[in-house]
Order: sequence, then C-alpha cells, then structure tokens
Amino acid sequence: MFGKILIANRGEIALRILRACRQLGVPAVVAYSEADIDTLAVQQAEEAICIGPADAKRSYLSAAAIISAAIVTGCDAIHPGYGFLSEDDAFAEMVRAHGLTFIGPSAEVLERFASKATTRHLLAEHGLPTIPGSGLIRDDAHALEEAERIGYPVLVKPSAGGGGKGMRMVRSPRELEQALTICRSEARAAFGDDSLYLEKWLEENRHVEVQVVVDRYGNAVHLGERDCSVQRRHQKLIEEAPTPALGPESRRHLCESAVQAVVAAGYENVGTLEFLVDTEGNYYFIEINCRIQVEHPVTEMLTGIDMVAEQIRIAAGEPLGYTQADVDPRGHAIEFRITAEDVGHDFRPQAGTIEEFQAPGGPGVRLDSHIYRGYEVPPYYDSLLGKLVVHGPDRATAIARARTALAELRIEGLETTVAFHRAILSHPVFLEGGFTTNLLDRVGPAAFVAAARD
Amino acid sequence: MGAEERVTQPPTDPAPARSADPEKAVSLAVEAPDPADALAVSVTPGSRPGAAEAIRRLADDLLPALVARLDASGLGELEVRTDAWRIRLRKPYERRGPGSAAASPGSGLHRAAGTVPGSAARGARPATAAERHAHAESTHPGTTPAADGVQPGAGDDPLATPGGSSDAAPGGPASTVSAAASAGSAGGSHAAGPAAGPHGAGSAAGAHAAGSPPGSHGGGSAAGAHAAGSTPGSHPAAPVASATPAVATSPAVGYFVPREGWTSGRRAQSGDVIGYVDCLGIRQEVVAPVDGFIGRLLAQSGEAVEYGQPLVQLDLPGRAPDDGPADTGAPARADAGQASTAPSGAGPAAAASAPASEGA
Repeated sequence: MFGKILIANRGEIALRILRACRQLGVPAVVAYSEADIDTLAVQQAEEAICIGPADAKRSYLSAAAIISAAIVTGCDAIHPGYGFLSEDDAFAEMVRAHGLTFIGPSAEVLERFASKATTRHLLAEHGLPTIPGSGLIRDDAHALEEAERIGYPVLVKPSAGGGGKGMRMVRSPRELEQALTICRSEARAAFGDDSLYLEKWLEENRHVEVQVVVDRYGNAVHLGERDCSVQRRHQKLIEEAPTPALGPESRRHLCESAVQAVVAAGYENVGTLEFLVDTEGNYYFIEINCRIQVEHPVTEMLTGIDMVAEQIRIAAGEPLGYTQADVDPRGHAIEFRITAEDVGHDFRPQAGTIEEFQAPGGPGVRLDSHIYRGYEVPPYYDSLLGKLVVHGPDRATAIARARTALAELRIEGLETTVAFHRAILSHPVFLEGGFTTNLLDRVGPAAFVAAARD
Repeated sequence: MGAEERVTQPPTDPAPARSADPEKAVSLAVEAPDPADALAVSVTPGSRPGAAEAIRRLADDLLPALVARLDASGLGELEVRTDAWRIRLRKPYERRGPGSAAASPGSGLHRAAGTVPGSAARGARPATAAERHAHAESTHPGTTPAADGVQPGAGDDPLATPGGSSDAAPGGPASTVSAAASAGSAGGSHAAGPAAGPHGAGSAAGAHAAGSPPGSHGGGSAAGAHAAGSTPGSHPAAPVASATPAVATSPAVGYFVPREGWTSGRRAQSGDVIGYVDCLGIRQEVVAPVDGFIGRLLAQSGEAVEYGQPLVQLDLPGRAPDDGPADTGAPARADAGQASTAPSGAGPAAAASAPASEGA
C-alpha cells in the first residue's frame, strides 16, 4: 500500500477520496486552489497544500503543480478523481516519471483507450456490438459519404471528447456540412483535437453503463450496470441501478460481455463501459471511462464495495481478492446530482453562499457533498454540490426514500436542482422507468416540471 | 459613478463536465473610488465587433442605475438584457477569499507543518500572522471586535453572504467590518485560527496579488502581474502596488531558494527577482512586489513551500515593516476572491492610480 496519497481534485470527490484513504489507513494530502481553501476536504484533511490560483489551468490542471505538491509533501501516489487530469495519459506518464503512482489505469492503458473511435474499434474486435459509425473523418466529402452509408440521422462526435461538447445531431447532408465546421472548432477549443467521427443516431435510447474492476493480474469482475438516461444536453442528472430497461438475463449478458471484452483488450483498474440501449433492448458500446465516475455510489450502494478503495488497492498492486461469484448486488439505488444551477434559466450555473443546509437521513440515504452552511460556492468550477443516493430493496422503496430525502434536503442561498429532482420523481415516465436520454431536451425542462406538477 | 473598468477574460472553464454557456461571458471588474464598492459585472456579448465600445457605453449609461438597484435590492445578483447584451451584476464575492487568500498559506502550512521536510520555518508564519493580527487590532479598532464577535459562529454563520447581512452592504466602513468578520470566521474554522483571520482582512489584497504572478510575470508589479493571469495585455496597470503588505510570495509549489546576494538590507525594486521556487527542477521567480529593502526570510532556503506562501518580507522605505498592511486594510475587501474580481485585489492599487486601460 502507498505511504501517502495526494488528492488532486476538489469538491465532493476530494472528500470522498479522503474518506477512502482514511478507511485504508493511508495518510492523505489535499491539493487545493486558492478558491477552495474553505472546501470541506481541505478543512478535514490533516494536511493540505495550495497548488495555485483559482484558474484550474494553473492548479487542478497543472501537472507540474500537482506533481511538485506530491513530492514536497512526501506522497508516493496521486489520486486524480474525475475530470481534470483523471484520464490524461501524458499526466499519468509524467507522474510515473517522477517515481510516483497514478491511481488509475497506467499511462499505456489510458493511451490505448484515449481515442473513442479507436476504442470502439478495439472493443468491437473483442466482441462488443457497436453503433454503426464511421472511422475518423478525413474531410467533408468523406463525412458525407459515410453519413450516406450509415443513414441519417447521424451524430457528429469529437474523437477526444466527453461531456457532450462538440456533438451535433444532423438529419441531412446540408446540416452535416454546417455541423462539421462547428464541431471541429468546438472540439478544438475544448479538447485541443478536432478529429471527428460519425455515429448512427438512435432516436430513442437509454444510456446504460457497466462498471468493471480489473486488477493488474487480469482478475476482473463487473459490478453490474447503471442507467443514466435522465440527461439534459448529455449531462447526467439521475442515475440508477439496476436499469429498468432490461430484464435480469439481458443485464447479465451485457455485463459479462463487457467485462470479457475489456479484459481481453488489456484494461486495468476501475472503469466504465457506456452503452446505448435501443427500444428493442439491443445494446451498443459507445465509450469507456477510465476513471472513477461521479455516479459510482449507485454501485457502492448495491454491492457494498468501496470503489475508491478498490481503485487505490489495485493501483498499489494488490490483487482483486474476490470473484464474480462474491459480488452480490442487492436492491435498487438511485442517485440525484444536486447542482448549483438555475433550472428556470436554462440551468445557468450559480455561485454564492450556502445560507442554509440541512442534509437528509434515514435508512438507505447517503449524501456525498462538500458543502456546509456558510460555504461559498465558487464560480470557477463544476456546479456539482453533492450527490444524494438512496437505496432500497426495490425500485418503489428507493423512490419513496428519495422523495423523503429530497423533501428533507434543504439548500438555500442559491438556486439548485433539488426541486427539479422532486418534479422528476412525480413524473409518470420516470415512475414507469421509461426515461430516454432525449426526453428532457425534447420536452424542455420547464414544460417537464409543469407536467409533473399536474 | 466615475468608475474605471477593466475587461478581463473569463475564468476558463476548467471542469470538462460543465455546461458551456459561462465560457462566453466577458467579465468586467468595475472599481469605484472607494474600493469597497467594487462590483463584478459579467457581460455576454452578442457580437464581437465594437464590443469594447459597447461595453464602455453600457458602463456609462446602464451601470450606475444597475448598481443602485442592486444595492437597494438586497439581492446578490442582477441580470438585465439590452440589445444583444446580457449584463449580470454581482455583489462582491465576499468569500473568505480575501481572508483566505492570505490565510491559506498560513493555515495550510500550519497543517502541513509536522510532516513536511524542512518545516522548521513554518512555525514562523503563523507567528507573522499573529503579529499582523495584533497590529490589525490596534489600527482597526472598529474591525477586530466585529471579527471576534463573529468568530464563534464560524462556518455556521451565513454572514459572509453578499447582502445577506446588513454589515455586508457595499460601501464604506461597514463593508470593511464585514470583510474582516468573514475573514475572521474563515480563520476560525482553520488551524491558523484568529491569527489568520484579521490578518487576512488587512493584507489579503497585497498577498494575493503578490502571490499570483508565476515566475514568468516576474517583470510586473504585484498588481499588474496578477491581472495578467486572467487578462493578458489588457491591464498595463499599476506598477504601484503601494497597497499593502510588502511580502513576496511563492509563485509555485516547490522548494524555496533565496537569490544569492539578495540578503537582508539590500534594496529591491518592484519586479526584481529576489528568489526562486524550484518546481520539478524549473526555477520559478520570486518577485519583489514593491520597492523596498529585503527583510526577513519567511521560509528557509530549501524549504518546501506552497503556492502563495509568504517567502520574503520587504521593508518599505521610511516605514516600519509592519506598517504596510495597516492603513490599507480596507482595500483588501475588494479582492472579493473571484478570478474576475480577484485582480481587483490589485484593484485598490489600480484605482488609486487610475490606470484603467479601457474607458473612463
């Protein structure tokens, strides 16, 4: 095990990692930007180090600042959390070059899975069905040709992307030509890489992802799937498991084929394979996330496995120590992402003071959050305030617990998505488990909330 | 309102998952003659051409009315749309930023003290803070009691809210009190405690400004260089930095190396390189934020230091070293802790010498 771990992230995930370190008995140092001095992880840490100004480029995205912080505080490993540098193979390589361990897949593995197009190709070779799509687009003519072959509507996607940036759905060659220019410039701005590819657009689909855990020695398990179909503009709002979209047999088949393929392709550490599931229950692999995910608590609630601790153990070279037969997911869990966003104004991110904060409680209720009364939500970063996760023996119980918990949860001082989540919980489509990824965007969040109140 | 404006780039969106809209915002830091009135404005342009002209016009025509309305409303933020513009006016981000910017090194290090190699000198820092605290008490009689009064409430008290407490209303001494108070409560929740708090209130702006320039900004003054962090080129301002504490801070995380020959008593001009921080083998320059004389080393040679950590004290000509922070306590508040407004930590200096690059 590691001697000391540097936590190179912020917000709720920094606190989550700190907790995992404590439970493992490993000392930890929280690296923070000047804007995050008041964050809970910094307050609670035995040791914390300021790595730069609020601007993430000079703090949480600065490989040099983070590695230097690890060195001067005597750490031998760095946990990158999610976002920021968590899937950056160059960073992972640099960490290793300084004699430290990157907690996550090795640089080689990150590099192998860095391009979505390549990854899709690789995992298709190992037996995963993929959405009909193109390779990397060479030029406009190539794009038009490929789109014709796949059949409209198609989705234009950046190869290096994530978080829905630089993506456009087009229904005609004319729209495609326009979208190519926009997507290239968006992708270049967001990821420094403007390579694009095309994908068949599934009009109605669900987003289902499979959690895998693979140690360095090729031992692997899946921890079931999560359904993340409640999205707005490709941003997940609610995640749950098991997915209401598939029966037990299909789910087992999906998860087993995912873990087999990913092991065969040489993956290591925790990871998530994302699939789209169409209305007939066919699933298509779309991408892999080589990091701990925001929604990992859903799986933790079901399996009882501390995934951040697993991640750390595996990076430290420990063998998995259990098999698929030992993984016993129970019940149903739902996570609500509580963000500081003004739903009434197009989910505009908010900054300001938490004037009132009251956390919910009771059986099967978990809140992962870094906020407290008096905390100032800084304007520079992700607007995630916390994650409310509920668990129950079945979906109906989980929903009932979610209602109670969302009623108890009070965050005042700025606009949050708490009320929006309450509205979703009273919407028949959600209650029936019928959410598809485009529902909110098609209906519009405001209309959706209004409908839910009726 | 005779405000000067600076157009700054928005803080870049660091979080990949974040929605895209705010990226397009252009921030305006508007500084009133009394820095305590500083307000942050973000403007989203509908079109690029003539943006500067439009901003200038909006600032002259619309801002004063908006400011008045925001002030009267008790709200934290206002937004209006006119033509293709969206003007959002937010009260100073009254986080413990000002306090914490300065307090952060102190408190962070305090925690780090036992564990970091070469931490011997770390004990010195809280002591410095304590000295300042004492000083602040003597010079800001109106301020410190407020801070103390608030402190027990610490994290539980929603006092730092912009507009949330009557003290926090922008303008005048009341603001100073509240800034100090929130700094105090920030300090209270950290290891450094009371020492860090009021110290923060007194000296945040300077420490913050001085802390920001990475080595590459070595030539700039504290104020100017900080602004450069977010505003390349648009803020030629203020080699002034007459504001506040004459302390050169660390531009990076790494090991401190004083510059050879630049020992106590030597005269240093603003912008002079007086030391280095070795960050992964690359020397980042520690820069004198003001003209003065090299004073006490606040970190030892070879010591592990964090970003923003006070490293070298600069004694100001004709002043006792500790006089600096005292009479410029109020401007600290303008530091408001935001990237867009953080440069306004440099603001007081800028405002004082009216160097604004754009408009008025």
